[in-house]
Amino acid sequence: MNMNRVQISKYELFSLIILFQWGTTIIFGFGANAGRDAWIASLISTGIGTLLILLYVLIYRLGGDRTLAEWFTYAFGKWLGAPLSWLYPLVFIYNGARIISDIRFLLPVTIMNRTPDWVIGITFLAVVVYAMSGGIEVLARIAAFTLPFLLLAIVLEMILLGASRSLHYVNLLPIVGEGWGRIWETVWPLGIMQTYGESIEFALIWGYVSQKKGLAATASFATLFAGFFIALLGLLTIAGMGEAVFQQMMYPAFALLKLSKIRFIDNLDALGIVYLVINAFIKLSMHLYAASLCIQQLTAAKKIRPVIFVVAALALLLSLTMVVSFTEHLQVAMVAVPYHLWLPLYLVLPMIVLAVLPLRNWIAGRKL
Amino acid sequence: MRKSAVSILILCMVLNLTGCWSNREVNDIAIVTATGLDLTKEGKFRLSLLLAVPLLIGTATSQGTGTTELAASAGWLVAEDGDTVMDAYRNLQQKLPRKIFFSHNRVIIIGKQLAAQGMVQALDFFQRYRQSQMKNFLAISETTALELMQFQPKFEKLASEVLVDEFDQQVLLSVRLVDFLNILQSQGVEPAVPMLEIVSSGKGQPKNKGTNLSVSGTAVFKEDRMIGKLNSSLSRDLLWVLDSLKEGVITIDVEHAQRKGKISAELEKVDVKRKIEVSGGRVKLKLKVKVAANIYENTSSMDLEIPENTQLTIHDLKQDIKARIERTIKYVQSNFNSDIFGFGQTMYRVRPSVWKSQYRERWEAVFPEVEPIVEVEVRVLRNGLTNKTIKLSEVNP
Amino acid sequence: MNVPDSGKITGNTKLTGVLEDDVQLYRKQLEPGADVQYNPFTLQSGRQGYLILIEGMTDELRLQSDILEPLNRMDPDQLKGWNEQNSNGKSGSSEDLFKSLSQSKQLRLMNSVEESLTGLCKGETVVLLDGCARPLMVALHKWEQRSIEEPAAEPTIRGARDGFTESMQTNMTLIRRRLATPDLKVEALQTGRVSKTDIKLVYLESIIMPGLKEEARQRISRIDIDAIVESGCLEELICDNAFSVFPQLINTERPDRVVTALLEGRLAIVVNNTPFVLIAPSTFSDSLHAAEDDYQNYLFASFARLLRFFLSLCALLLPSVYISLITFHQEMMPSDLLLGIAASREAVPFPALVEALLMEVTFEGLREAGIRLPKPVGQAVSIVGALVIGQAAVQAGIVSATLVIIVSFTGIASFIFPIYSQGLAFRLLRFPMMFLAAVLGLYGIFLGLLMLLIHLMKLRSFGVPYFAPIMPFHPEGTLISVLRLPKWAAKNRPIETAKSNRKRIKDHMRPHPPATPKG
Repeated sequence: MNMNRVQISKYELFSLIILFQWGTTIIFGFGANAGRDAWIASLISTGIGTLLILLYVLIYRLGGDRTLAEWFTYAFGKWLGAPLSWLYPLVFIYNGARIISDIRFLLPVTIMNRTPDWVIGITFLAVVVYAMSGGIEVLARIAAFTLPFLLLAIVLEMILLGASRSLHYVNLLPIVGEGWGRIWETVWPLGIMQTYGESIEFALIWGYVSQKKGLAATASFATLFAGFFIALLGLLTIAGMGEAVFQQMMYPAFALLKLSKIRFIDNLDALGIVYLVINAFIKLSMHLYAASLCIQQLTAAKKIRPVIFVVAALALLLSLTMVVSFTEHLQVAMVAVPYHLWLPLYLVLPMIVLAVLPLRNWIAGRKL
Repeated sequence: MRKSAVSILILCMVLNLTGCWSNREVNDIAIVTATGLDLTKEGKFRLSLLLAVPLLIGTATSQGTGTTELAASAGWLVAEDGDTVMDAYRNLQQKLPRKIFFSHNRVIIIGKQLAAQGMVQALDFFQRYRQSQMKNFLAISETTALELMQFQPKFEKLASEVLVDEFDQQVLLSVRLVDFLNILQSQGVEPAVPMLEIVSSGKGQPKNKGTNLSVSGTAVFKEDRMIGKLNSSLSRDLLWVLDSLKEGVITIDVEHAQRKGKISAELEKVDVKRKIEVSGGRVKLKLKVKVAANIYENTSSMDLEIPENTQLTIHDLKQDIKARIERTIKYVQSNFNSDIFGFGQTMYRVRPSVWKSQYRERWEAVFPEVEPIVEVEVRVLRNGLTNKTIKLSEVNP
Repeated sequence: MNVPDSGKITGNTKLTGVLEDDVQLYRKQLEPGADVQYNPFTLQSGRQGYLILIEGMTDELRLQSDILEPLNRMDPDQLKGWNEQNSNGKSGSSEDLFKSLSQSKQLRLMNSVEESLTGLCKGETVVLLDGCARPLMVALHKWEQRSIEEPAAEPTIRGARDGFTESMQTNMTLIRRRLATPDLKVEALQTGRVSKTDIKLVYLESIIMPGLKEEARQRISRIDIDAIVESGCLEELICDNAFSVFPQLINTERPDRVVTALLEGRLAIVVNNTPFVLIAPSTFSDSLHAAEDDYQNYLFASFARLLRFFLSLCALLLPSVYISLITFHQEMMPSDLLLGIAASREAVPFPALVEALLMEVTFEGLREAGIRLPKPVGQAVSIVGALVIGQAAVQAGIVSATLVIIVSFTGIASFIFPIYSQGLAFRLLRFPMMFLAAVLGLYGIFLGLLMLLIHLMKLRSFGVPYFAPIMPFHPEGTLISVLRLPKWAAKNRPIETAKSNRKRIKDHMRPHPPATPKG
């Protein structure tokens, strides 16, 4: 089927999905609006998010192993499909630009004050471009290589916090004390769209997976796994500092790490930042690589490398110009984007495609 | 491949040429180990910082074994006024040749005046600032913070180390900044923060002979304002209610033995469970205290080998603990009407709907009426190295 | 000249059969050739002849006994085969000639002067006989060579002490002696226009990774260069990524290491005139494995491997982490340590980067000088250098005492690589890391590490991913390469090389004490 020699194993896909979904969510914390019930919101989002991932796999299988770039032209025909397909790489670039902004804002206020943010953005992007030029294989392997270390780090952090007597589980009570309203508000649409809806990018790389058989199972298990850890981290954060402070902190996970202290092991801030940066790295690489792949397939370009450079440059430009302040940056993420951009692209359009596909398949079958 | 290598190289060189932005060498920073905040008479903030002077702290100098004199103190206390904490910090910075570095700060000491005026105005800086640590311990000074920080420690070179050690031992109420902020913003609970004072190092010694830090009590807050103080013994009893007692000694009188005396029990494990009951508008709070203790001193002639005597001792211990807890709760209820125990929070956690519908708005009126029901359970684990107490050769009739 | 720089000998000068003229033909080609000997001889039959040989490369005694004496006894009929115009000198009636001359030695009859020159230069002897218009080549090499010694660059406590020498023949026997099977195949290749270096590909036919020998053969035969002086020259010409700092082929002096590699389905490339044999493909973890690991207790060997992984990270990162902590992340150090370091740095006038560079360069200089200096002096210099510079620099307040510890530990850590060339890579990479740390702190170090990781993920050695078997992840392989499993537990050969024939040991080979009867 796929003549490409590039292949990634199921484990590599698994880790790629996990790191992608952790992404910046792990930096900003999940669902501060839900207060101490953020972890519940996170679990619910994960459940629904898994369904979303399954939807993407399903379309891939029903559509005769077509990638995201080919869905729309197949389902709606050339005239309607092509413009729709072009929307996706643009959104991916926009998402990438947002990640660059995240990093640009995160590092100066935490460990690198006074370093110009464009330097951070450019150096970060340089590494990302280098990784992307190695293709999906390299990205997947980096993810697979780092995942065990990241998991180990979470376990270590739990031990550290526990040992420094910083976790007070009563802070989690009462569970759902303020009702389901605020939970649901975080779940829909931001919680689902940001972390899980973005996984639509994987619809471009299903084809690279060496074994197609357990694709759906791997993808959904990875999603559940990632979601579990996001919830766990939320749980720890709330237990560590209580609802009010959790909601006030810009980077709760970072603040949580700062609370840990046993004897001489103290102030692991910078390591925490590195931890966050590697998640952002995978996420940004995936965003931009997905955009590049999409554009390459849409333009039938032979080489992906020039596309990568263009995409990366666009993302950087966009990031440096689109927002000025961090508050603005967050505001856009919370309000405008989920409804106007992500919801239609990640949910509505794929649903329509899913609805149209059987019809299309039937027509295609008759033509033969 | 080659392109990327070259670009990295160029990048490295350019970055080096433009200089290192966040770069500050170890010797360009003034390491803050303790921070003090006071309110001056003009209504300004007075920020006092205890800076560590590395040269005085460093171990044996490179000159070899010659002079390894221990400097009396390696701390340097500086202070400056300002309209806000940040402003005072700026003013202080202007006077210092090195950059103030907060990350190693351990303790934040607040002067009594400032605490009475409200803490929020002072603490915002510490939550927001990049270098500040949410795990800093909070303490209220009996006098001004500046005065407290002038204390000259003997074992350690820095006053802050003494403080941190005391907090870390957990024999007193330790409140970190994050805890304080969390309590401040939670329903049904008010903050309580330990108070410190300088005392002479031993009873009967003059103050100028040597000083020590001591916990003088607990500051009771209402919102962010300090409204009163629990004395030293009440402060220790407060730990029972808050379930933050980790170690301690209880001493009871022995009345039943031939030779009267006292028994001291060392607490090994203390566990306090709360249960809240609402019936007919009255709120009852059940405190279930489980204690495991070791008896390490017995000055009476009571023979602890006899089970009845042990039972008796346990009974006395129970009574003592119960009395302490009830006394503390009553005292706070009647004198301050500030829920530093977090009874309201307990209700919120267990029965959020009842709390929200009936009590949230009028908790201030309800709190003094909350009826504590204390149940104590004591287990004596060990009797120390001896069984019988020292016997005087008494003439038995 | 007929022998230009290209080393290609062109021309097709036939011998005349008149002895003196023929010798002149040779002289013309070889002059000035002070080390070429022209030894005339006369057979009993009265026929004249010449031996042309290069001084010190021929076993002259055996030349006498195996060639000249049989020639002497031979009747003229048997000599007829000498003149047969047969391109492959070994068939036809020349067979008779060879048979009667010697049982074992390589004899070749050449057609022209030029054909015989290469052989002559490699130490063969040209035998000319009056009336015979073809030169006879006799390969009776003998020259001075180093005896088998303990490998200098890869010493072990336990394990065989013989190391490869410069002689390919000896090296081949060292391998052969350990693998007594016809399955061990040896292919001969030659490359280098001037050097005409012999290269042998050695492998186990039934185990070798499919396609590997063809690939190696193709990569080597592609080379057109004047000379391959050492296996390092070859390595650079046949590796996968020409720009990588990492050694993509392992070079070793140890025959036992080569044999282990052969048994894993790898290929050994033996190059003449060097004791360093190349192993292809080789991976990153291979370069952290010592030959000794297989012989020592497996628990200790596993510990040693983990230690090497850890220390290799130290060798790469320690100075840069120091720099970043000192200049960026002072909060990450425990307060007491920070104050201690601050105190020791109080007198140091330089920024941390300069301080660290100063010491690192000094240390690297000492190392380099230690290798180059004559042996007796070298030791003195390195000891004096290390002591004096370290101690004095601290006292003079040029560097801090902490840094001296860091640099020394880094130095020790960079010695733990069993494969020297991997150590070189890490020593070199330390410097860019230090610059990154000085500019961007831990973030910079992290970016550098990420770059390195990406590079390692991209890198391949003869098609095998360089980070295999850890990535792409293969559980069994990872276990075997990170730890050292006992022989009875490591049942399979690595999947990335021995693809089809993987079983190494039969099941249930764990030794048990004999069952003792109860009672």
